Amino acid sequence: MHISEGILPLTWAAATTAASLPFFLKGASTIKRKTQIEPSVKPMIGLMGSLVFVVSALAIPVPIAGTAAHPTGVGMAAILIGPFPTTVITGVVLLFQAVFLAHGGLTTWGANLLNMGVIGAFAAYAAFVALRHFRLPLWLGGALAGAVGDLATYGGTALTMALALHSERSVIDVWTAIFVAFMPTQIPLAILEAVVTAGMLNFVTSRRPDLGRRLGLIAADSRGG
Amino acid sequence: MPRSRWVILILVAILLLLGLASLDQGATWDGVDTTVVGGFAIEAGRESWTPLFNLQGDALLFAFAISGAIGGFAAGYYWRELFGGNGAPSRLGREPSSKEARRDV
Repeated sequence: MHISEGILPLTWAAATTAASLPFFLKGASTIKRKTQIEPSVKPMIGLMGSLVFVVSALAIPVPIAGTAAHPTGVGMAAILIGPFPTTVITGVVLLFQAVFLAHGGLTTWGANLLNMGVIGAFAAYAAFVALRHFRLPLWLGGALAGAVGDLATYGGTALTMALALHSERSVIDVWTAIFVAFMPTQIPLAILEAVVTAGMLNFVTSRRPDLGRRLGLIAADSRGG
Repeated sequence: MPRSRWVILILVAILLLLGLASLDQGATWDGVDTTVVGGFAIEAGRESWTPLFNLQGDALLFAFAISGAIGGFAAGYYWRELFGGNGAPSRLGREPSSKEARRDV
């Protein structure tokens, strides 16, 4: 989903950066506040940052599509550390990838951050909260939110591309064309993200029920899995 | 399921995936960043610029491998800090899980 360097016109590059920066700044202050209150937040943010860095640079070949794509990991991160801190770790990850791996770009940093760190993370978190509100099991809520985070990221990328480069065609037509083109590769990866997110939530709540409670994953009176 | 079986299962899944991928000789395995995003950008008259550090060939492979290793090491370090290692407790104090609590009774 990384939009390469220079693909977006500079006005769009500036607009997307301006749109994502408030989320990044709010996330930085959230991290500062949470790490002062809760000692396990810092290693959890470190863990999520490392995982998002690794999985979002991991091109997985999808045999039925003949192409490769990467998961995002933002759904799992948004559930475990919150959507605003996820925006921060995604911003740092995208910066490293743009500079050292030629993956994404500096001019498209804001657009990629908006798609992955804002749209992807917030969509996943909203899906998780809504699904848990309807008392779905933790693993199922986490799985669906993980898949939503992945698909929303790619939906956001399609929207950015459509808005910036639609020329005479309608935005909806262009968005649909790009989003549909992503699907053969992205649906299997969304399923993979669902499985990994469910597994991670299950692991955290069974291995560290105290952490699960503090993260709001399980009820305060529960001992966990 | 014991951890060793999980490792074997994941390795088999990766081998199966790579085996299936190698069957399709016509596919280039370019990422969707190139085929979809890049393809549409070219259609719209935009071409990507040369990256700041334009690594090519094995240099790019090296950069991906080394960054994956560093990311994996960092993930392992924080994982151990949160969840502990084999039989070792987490560095952060934790209460026993339900499984451990049942075992202790």
